[in-house]
Amino acid sequence: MKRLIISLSIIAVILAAGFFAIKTVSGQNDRLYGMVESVLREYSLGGDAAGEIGHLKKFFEEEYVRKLSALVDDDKLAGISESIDRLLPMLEADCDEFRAECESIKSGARLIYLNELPAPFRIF
Amino acid sequence: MLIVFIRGMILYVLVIFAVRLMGKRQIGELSPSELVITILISNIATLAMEDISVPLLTGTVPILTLVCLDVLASYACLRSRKFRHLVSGKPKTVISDGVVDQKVLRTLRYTVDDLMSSLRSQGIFDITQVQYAVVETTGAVSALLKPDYLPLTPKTRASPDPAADPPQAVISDGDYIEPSEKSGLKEKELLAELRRKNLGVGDVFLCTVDSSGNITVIPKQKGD
Repeated sequence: MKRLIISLSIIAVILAAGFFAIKTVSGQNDRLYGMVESVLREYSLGGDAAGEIGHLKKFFEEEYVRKLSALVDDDKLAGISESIDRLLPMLEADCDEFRAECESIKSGARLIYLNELPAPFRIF
Repeated sequence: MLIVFIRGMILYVLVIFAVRLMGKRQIGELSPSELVITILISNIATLAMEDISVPLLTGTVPILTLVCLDVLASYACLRSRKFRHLVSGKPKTVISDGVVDQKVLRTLRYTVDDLMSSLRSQGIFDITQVQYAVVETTGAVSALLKPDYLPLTPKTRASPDPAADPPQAVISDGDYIEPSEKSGLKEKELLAELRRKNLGVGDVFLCTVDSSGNITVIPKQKGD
């Protein structure tokens, strides 16, 4: 009976951790989307986009990666990190694909969130 | 390098915990489901240990899930005979009254060589000496020698046991099991015997009947 209780407790903890992971990813993604939107807004207005990119990079490295590295494969985080690193050189070169790169950051983050959701097509 | 070392230590502790949670079993006694889980755990643990790009949780969650499900399944097996047979299968009698049941052997895909090998490992080199043999759910063979080949004891010296198959369970943990035709026991006779002892089928922990028709009843302990 003791083993049964331990097993049920572990399953409960795993389920709770699963929901917590979804909530954590969702919360971190919301903040990341907000920062990317700030970068785009400043870029459109001709404001301090470089400063916003700096904030985005700092947030990604100091919070996003630290909180999600226990849940998400390094490869997926590395993909977003590379996109963020490309933003400043693209801004300085006034590259046409700056907006597309920002969108790729958002879609990468969205993919991480979707991978946490237990949708049937992801399970099977 | 250090990350792999630390991951190795964490997974070592986790696997030890997982195996302890599964319970004490020898490798040879593992049921099919336990064997599958043991192989899966070792494989998952290796992947999580080697690939540092994968979060450790990706390795630990499936290990814990498999072990917990195994514990839940074994609890369900304890409560339900049908579930037990579904998960672990049933023991099959391959030799009865000294006669090899070739049909059962074919069903089990058990060759004569396998059977002989299992008997030899128990010190039986002549199949004609075997009165009764069962292939257990773990794949091991349990054999009973004919009385002529059994060691002499004070009891058998005075009156040797007749050659007969061992008693057969007809009630297991409150569940009625249809006895084989050889036992000659009818359900009505069994129920009448239980009524004489003021018991119902649900009150019986184990009831066996031998080839002479003798019924042995072990009632359930109160509070179970």
